[in-house]
Amino acid sequence: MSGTGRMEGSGTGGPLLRIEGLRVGFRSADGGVVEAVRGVDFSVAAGEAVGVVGESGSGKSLSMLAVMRLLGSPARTTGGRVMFDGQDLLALDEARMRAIRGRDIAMVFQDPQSSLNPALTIGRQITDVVRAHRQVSGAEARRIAAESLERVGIRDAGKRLDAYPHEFSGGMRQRALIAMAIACRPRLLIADEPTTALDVTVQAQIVDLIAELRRDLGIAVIFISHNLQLVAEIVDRVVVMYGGKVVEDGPVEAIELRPRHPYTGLLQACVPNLTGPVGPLVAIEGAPPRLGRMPQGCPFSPRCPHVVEACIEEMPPLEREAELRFACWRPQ
Amino acid sequence: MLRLVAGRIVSSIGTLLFVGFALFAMTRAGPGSPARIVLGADATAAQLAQFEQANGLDRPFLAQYGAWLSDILRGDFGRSFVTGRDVGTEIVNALPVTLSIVLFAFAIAVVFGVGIGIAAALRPGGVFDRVSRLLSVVGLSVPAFWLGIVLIRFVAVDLRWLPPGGYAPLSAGLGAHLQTILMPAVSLAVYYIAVLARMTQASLQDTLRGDYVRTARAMGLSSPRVVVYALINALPPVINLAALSFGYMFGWALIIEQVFNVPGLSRALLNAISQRDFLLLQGIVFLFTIIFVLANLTADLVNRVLDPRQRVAA
Repeated sequence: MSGTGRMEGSGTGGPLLRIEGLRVGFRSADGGVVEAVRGVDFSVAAGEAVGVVGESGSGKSLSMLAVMRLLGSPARTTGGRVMFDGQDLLALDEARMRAIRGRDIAMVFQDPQSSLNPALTIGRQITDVVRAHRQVSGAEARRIAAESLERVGIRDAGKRLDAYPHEFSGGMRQRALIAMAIACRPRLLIADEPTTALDVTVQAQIVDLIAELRRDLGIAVIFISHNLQLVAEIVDRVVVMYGGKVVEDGPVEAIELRPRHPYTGLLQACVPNLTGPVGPLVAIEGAPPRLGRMPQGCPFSPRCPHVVEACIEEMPPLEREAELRFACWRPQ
Repeated sequence: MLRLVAGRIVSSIGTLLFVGFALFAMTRAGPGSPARIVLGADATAAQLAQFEQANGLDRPFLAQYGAWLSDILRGDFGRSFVTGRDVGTEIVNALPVTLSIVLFAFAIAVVFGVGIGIAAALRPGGVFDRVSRLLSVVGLSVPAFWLGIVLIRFVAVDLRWLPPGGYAPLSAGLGAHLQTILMPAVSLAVYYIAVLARMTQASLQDTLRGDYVRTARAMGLSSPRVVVYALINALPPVINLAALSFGYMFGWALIIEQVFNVPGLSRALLNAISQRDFLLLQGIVFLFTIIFVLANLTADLVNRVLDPRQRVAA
């Protein structure tokens, strides 16, 4: 029964998830549409870990919510395709999409404080997910829930099922949310800044946990973060977003070694190096472009230290060079 | 949990003692002695004094209060010195009438108020959202007694669907009973339907935006289950308001009973006021206080069951 209705891999060796030309817009007050995600393309292979990195407002979270079809009004998907296992998620009816959420693709969010229902026990919330996707008895669902909770490193899991979220620490709540997400063994886990609201030491534990789950269970991971270094520790590939577009995409080693887009280079420099000599903190001058005020050319051009005329006039295409893809007229 | 409940009950008893005292004091502060009313304008000072002594009205204030309270604890509301009838019996005779109307009105208010509120929250801009908005204007601005009169005029007098007033007890048959209490209950309920619908809608819309609702959807829970997730957290303020409404309804019921000529507590209370029948007046008002306190206590306890954080919080 584990595989009832589950979509099996197409076997063509294609990616698990392929996002093509995804666009997300907000309806503005004057009736027009302001685009926040402006044609995003990237793919995730089965079992692969991909980091999506960018500042607030870069469109990274919106893109992932669009993939899950969880955008709330007034945001909506205005174009593109999201191919998962050979079918376009954006074209599915709501019932079939619901069957995929939590079973094939699960998502955990930024704030574990508010992401669990305060009125229900942890166990109830996990078993509800199990029973939403699998025809199992209450006892069996509870056993699966305890197993999931144990899997994410919560000791005495059987007893902790009866605890309420307020009895858990922030880190434990995020673990409980991850337990909910993996309870049905999805093939893709989308983690939207899962560590941002946590203490630094706890952050590292959660990152390690996600890396471990991916290794042990073979779950593909999309890890959304604004912290390039944090993501680099556990992902195979990094997708850098800016102004609603992918500006650079490639294997983590290649990007760490030599980022080609100036924005990626500055993101890298922003995180202080804790082992090397102490230097001044680096910040990127200026602020990301506001919605509806996107520059005509490269969205980073107003803040870019290497800007030339062409950058202001025309958006550079995302071009491939060796393992990397980047969108820049003056790659570094 | 048990200690919390016990604490809450103790504080409710404190409230009752305080209200009882205030009630006792205010009743006696009003002008006019029951002795004068019972014995008439021709009574001599000696007769008045004798009456007051016989009924304990000459004893110190606190002694009277203490005696009244200890009698009530034994379930004895005293004997009216105006009519000579047992206050407890009078209340027991009139209470079922009022209770019947209020309970029916409360049920209508909760079912329609909460139902419309939920439907409106789930479909912003939909039919129920508009119904809810219209209701809140109509329900909040139309006085219950006026609505009662309008209902009598059209439903009873013109259409002759229901009797224009009077009361048939449950013992006269359920159909007959409902016929007499339907219009009073509806008149009483409309305001509270509006209030409860607005509160339910606002509270549910708020919790539906919660992060845990997004989580539930991201995990593929069905829509009804997601709504239940939000609703559990939306209900506490609605329950508090419902409890308050239940208490207030007894107050409005007095006016509604007059409009529909129903022999409920209103008649007894008005008689008690005009005749300076202290014990009957105190008994009825104290009964309302008990109902009010009990309703709020119940709401508190239900909310503690719904919200686990309140169970541990001191």
